[in-house]
Amino acid sequence: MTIATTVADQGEQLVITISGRFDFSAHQEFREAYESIEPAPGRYCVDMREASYIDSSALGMLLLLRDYAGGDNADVQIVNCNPDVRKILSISNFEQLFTIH
Amino acid sequence: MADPIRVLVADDNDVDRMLLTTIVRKEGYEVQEAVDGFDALRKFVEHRPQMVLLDAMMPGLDGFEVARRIKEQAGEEFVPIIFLTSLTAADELARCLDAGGDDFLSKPYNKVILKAKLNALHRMRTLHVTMQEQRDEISRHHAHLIQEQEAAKAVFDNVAHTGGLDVPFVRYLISPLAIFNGDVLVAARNPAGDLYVLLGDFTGHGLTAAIGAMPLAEIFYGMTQKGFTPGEILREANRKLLGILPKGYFCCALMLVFNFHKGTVEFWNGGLPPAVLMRARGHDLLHLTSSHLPLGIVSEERFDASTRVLEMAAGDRLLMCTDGIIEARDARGQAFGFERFDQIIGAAAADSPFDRLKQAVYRHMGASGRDDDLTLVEITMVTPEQLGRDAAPVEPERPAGSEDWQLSYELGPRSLRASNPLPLLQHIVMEVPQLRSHASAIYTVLAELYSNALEHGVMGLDSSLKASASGFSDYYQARARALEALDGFVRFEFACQIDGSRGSLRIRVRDSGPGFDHAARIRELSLEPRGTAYFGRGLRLLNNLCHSLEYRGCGNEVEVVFAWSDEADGAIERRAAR
Amino acid sequence: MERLNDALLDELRDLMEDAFPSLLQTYLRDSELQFMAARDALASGDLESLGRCAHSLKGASSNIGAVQLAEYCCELERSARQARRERLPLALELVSDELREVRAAVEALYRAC
Repeated sequence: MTIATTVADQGEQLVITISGRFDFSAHQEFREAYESIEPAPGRYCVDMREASYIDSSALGMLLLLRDYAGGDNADVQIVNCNPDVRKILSISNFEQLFTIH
Repeated sequence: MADPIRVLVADDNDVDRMLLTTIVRKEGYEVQEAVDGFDALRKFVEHRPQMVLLDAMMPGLDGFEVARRIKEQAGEEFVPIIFLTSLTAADELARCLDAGGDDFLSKPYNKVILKAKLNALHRMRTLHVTMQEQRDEISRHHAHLIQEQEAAKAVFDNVAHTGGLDVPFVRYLISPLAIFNGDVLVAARNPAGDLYVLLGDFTGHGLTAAIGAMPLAEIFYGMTQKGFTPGEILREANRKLLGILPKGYFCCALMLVFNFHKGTVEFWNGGLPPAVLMRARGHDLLHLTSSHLPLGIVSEERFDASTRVLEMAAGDRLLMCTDGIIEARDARGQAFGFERFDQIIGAAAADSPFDRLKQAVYRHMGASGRDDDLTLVEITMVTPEQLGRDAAPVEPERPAGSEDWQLSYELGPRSLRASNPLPLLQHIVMEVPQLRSHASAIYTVLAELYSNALEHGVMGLDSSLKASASGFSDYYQARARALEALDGFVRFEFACQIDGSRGSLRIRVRDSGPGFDHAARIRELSLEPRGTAYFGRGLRLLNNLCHSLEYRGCGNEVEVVFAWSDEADGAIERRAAR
Repeated sequence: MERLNDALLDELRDLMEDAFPSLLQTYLRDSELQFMAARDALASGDLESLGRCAHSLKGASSNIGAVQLAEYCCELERSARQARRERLPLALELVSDELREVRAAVEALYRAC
């Protein structure tokens, strides 16, 4: 599992790219990925192109990101999910909390 | 300063041994000398050196044999052995390793190299000792944790155990310590005898999960027994969990309410794998998929507690699991998966797929499997007759209570939208001691009267929508929409009369709706064979439970009389006790 | 080739300090014993003992820097282990001649201490 970040749109958007298994082992790294960016961008995008799997603790981490990014006013997108990842997200109905493409 | 490390030097050649001893001693080690193999073993037992330098070729017992015996003696302790050898052939060196050698030193001895090797092996030894200590500590901790889990499990059982699952039509598999893996399974009857089941899966393991499970079980049992609706229970559970769980932790849950009189199951799925409904007749599987966020994520305002209702005939089975089963992995890391789950259920025809599912999961996981995370439940719909009379709690003692009273209770639009009057009304009626043994019937009567007045009266929903299986679910969607827009009232009037051993409770319900052609409706119902229609069951139920049932006026007012006598009750209780 | 490696001997002197003469003495005694045992073993045809004696003498000799002698011992040990009897008398003679020279050098060193 690796996590990479890129700042896009003149600092307006932070893209967090997840590779491999997105599970509890990513906890620290994932948090640091968005907490270390100053100033905080307005929008967040979690790119799952390389993510093979996510578990429920990863869902919890996404909720923490959403909370950090403003809770109900957060602009957090989750993009490029493979079908397995997509299934986990939709069983938990995370469409209601995140923009998922 | 710590005690010097003891090193055994075993070499039959005096010159070599003298040299080695000097080098090793100068490095600050304490040296024991041995002049041959037997001497080496003796000195090892006597002095318990922490490292050994061993000549491979010695008369009597050679170095290989000595190494083997030393390692045997040392047991779990790591005693590094350096072979002293001028052997160079690969197979001879391999023999040294096979015998337990950890390194080599060749002649002529080089002080610098020997020093480096001793230091390296000493570090390795220290690391080994640390690891062993940590391992021992972990296993002590583990034993302690297991003990604590068992204690906590006992506490949880005290809070949660009501035996709601111990009926023949419910089969379940849940690890004894599953609560610490985040799985919760609770079941209870509401006053009307409906079976409420809640299956929960908390994120995370250990304490967080266990902490959440306690209040969840308490809310579930407390509110179910008081007659709250599943939506109300879920709302309360969500509110509570949102308050106590750390951010990022939540509880995926499936709530089911089985109504055995009507043959329905009401469900709410927030984040659990779809429960599978298999019909006793027909092969189609119906999936009760998750359409809600799990509990403990969103605030009360955003929480959606709306449920769906499905018709469920006697013999139909419902199978549910937490993701431990779906995610169970085989040796190659392949998950068990939804498809396999469905396939096995589909192949079961009318039989119970429970055992087959269980076996398939165990087989899939093979030897590597842990059964900690596996929670599987199968519930088969039964008829009220199969269910028996022991469903509702019976309170035989008769303390003094109200004897004759009247009560009028009117709900306006806001109350109709937001609250459920049944727990309150049930509570008031239960103030009459003689009625307590009829709690289940009373609750059912109240619930039927209320839903008729609200749904058909105030909201004007057409119950003939329920005439088909698909209309059945359309009906409940229409109900949810109508509830948002509703205007009007429902009024309850109670009159209770007690005369010695006999008594009656008259319940009159009036709603703001336009009424209906009740005479025609009752004629129709009397012509239909029992149980074939999706609607009309409510009326039949009322008719069976009450002494009399009468519609008044344009049909927006109904009066039922629930009558009892102690003689009849006594007979029923005696029969139930048998 | 030199009889004794001077650099190695200097190191040994540093290492052993006061025990250096004792080390030399031990070598003189030990090498004598091993060589006699080797000669007897060859005479009685006990190749295994011969190999072991050659091995022991080889190790001690290499440790005091008698490089050439260690090589002759190695050759003797190998021939004994391979049971190449025809080579053994010559191999032992090479060890015998070199050992005499080495012992003379070690004795001189000892006397100089």
